[in-house]
Amino acid sequence: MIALLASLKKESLLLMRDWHALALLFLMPALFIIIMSLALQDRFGAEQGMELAGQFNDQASTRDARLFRQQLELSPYLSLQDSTRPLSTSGELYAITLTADFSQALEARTDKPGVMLRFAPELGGRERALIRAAVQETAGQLRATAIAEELGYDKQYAEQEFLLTHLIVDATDTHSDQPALPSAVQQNVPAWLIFAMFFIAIPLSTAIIDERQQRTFIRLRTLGTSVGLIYSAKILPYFVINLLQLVLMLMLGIFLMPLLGGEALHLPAPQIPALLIMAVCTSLTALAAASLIASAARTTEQAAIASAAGNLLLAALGGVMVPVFMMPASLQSVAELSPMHWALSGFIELLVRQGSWSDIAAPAFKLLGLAALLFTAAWALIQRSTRHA
Amino acid sequence: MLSLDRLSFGYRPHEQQIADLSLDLEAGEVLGLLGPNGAGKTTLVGLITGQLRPRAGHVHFDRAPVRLGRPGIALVPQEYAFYPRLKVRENLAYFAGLLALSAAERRHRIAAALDQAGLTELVGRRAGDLSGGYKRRLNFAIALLQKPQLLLLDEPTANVDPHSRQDILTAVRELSAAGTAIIYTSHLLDEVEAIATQIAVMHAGQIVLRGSTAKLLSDASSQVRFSTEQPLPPPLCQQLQLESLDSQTYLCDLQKASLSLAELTRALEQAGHSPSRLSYGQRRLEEVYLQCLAHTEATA
Repeated sequence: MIALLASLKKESLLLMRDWHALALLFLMPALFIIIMSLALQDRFGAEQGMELAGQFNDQASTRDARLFRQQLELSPYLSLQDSTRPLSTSGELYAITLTADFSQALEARTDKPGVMLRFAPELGGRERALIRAAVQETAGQLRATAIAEELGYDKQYAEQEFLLTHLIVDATDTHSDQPALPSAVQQNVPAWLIFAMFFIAIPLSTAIIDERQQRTFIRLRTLGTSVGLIYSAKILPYFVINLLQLVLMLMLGIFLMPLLGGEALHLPAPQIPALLIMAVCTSLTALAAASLIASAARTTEQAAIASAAGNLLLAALGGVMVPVFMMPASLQSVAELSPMHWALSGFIELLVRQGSWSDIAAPAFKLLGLAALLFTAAWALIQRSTRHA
Repeated sequence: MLSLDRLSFGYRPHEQQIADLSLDLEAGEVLGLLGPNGAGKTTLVGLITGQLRPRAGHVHFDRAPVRLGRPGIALVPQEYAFYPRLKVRENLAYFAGLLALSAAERRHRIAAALDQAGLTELVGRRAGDLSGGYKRRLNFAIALLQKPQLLLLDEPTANVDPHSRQDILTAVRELSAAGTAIIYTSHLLDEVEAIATQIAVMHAGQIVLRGSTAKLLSDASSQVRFSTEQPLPPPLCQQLQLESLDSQTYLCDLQKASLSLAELTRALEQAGHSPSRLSYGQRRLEEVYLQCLAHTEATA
């Protein structure tokens, strides 16, 4: 027991005096969370708050054209200004022009187009599709109303009940009234927290290899210290570091982000135990990966490169840098292979969808299984190398 | 105290780093373990400490088979095997904490190790900030915490200043006098000559020369070694049949040159060169070592 306490004290002192490692483990994820959350806050949350500024140019000046404009302005995404200035100088992102033949085009009595769309080059494909959809929806609605009127339906019924209520009903399938997709803060806090938790592989593996290269490991073994004690004492302080990362990054999301103009992270108290379990599973996987790298690598350089490259690859695949829901379907299935994705899906289930224990069981067990596998492989390598120390 | 009996070891099945090696060491003896790089010295140290298991033969310490972590056996590796970011006291406290000792005994041993290694004034300094000499002292002091009966020192004075070297050698002598058996590997042959009571020369995994230092260095031949302030002119060397050991050190076989010692010194003085550090009847360890290796390689 005294040996374990002495070892834990030693490792804690070494870690506290390693400013580079502490900056890497705490400052880096904090900065990533702040920067990415603020930079992407308009891109998340199902277009919440997104308003695309554009021009509207009515060359038809008919009743249909006025109705079209009124209907189009109901879209929450479009903000229209009357203007004919070139997009390159106006700063607007698109222009919707109703041609002189708009009414005829609406009734399909001419081959000429009724609506012309121009986009600024910087406007993304997703936003262009959104504008196109809004225009098509409005045109379709006007056309359908006109047909309904021709068929003798009451105008109000045709506009309101038939088209909007009876034909299309939309609903959000979710456990509560929370949005299904995460906001920028809900995505970035757990994502960069997981990234930082896995980053312990660098200081932990290099510390173990340093000890081996300096023959301190052999000295400890000749003192009668078991391999289990040496490794446990190395790993335990990093487990505590992972839990500290969890607390600090969550606090950053809850308290600091709103002060910086971002959205606050909402963390309901009943979710805290499950969140802690997810953090423990994630930490065990990260520690197991670090142990395996330390056992397999011969030099600190090899370990640092393997840890950094592996971490970046798993993060890119696992939805840390680009959320999985924004990836194409083929890549989304590849993302399933990354343990960072398992961890992130568990965190998001709890933070975004207020999930229960059963919702995090699958990712938690996957993480625990991988941790057991990696620890076993690391232990086998350690046993093999200590026989030939 | 330490007994190696027909020891063999190889890292791979077809290799043999140690071959049928036997060696005994008694309490208080200092064995200078010499040999070129790759001779098997480090492997032998690994077998003695129990890090490596012999393929054949036995290692016994105090009549019991050696296992890794056997109390009483301490190792001082050539590398600085401590933590540079910890202070001197923190390093010692950590290593002492790994020993099954009471708190009072730990404090006592830390104080004794600090004193023996001359580190008492530097307990608050970070180990990484110490000079090379003091780092060696700390490396040595950590082994002293074990109060070893057998101490294995691997190049303990490499790259240290003369003052620290002298202090470490003094501490080794004190340990030896107190009954600790010591195995001392070093390439600094003057140092080994000064401290070792026994010499073993290794070559290709075997001990090719073994004996007491006094016996190995005693010389019944008629060779004289001396130094001069200036290099001697080649014609004089030829005339006196001198062999140049380095630019100002010479060897003369009096019997071969048909000279008496008085005739040799007179001839040198007449040529304006007074011999100094003249030794007669004793060889240097370097000479013994190099001759041994040359003979081993020639007969291999």
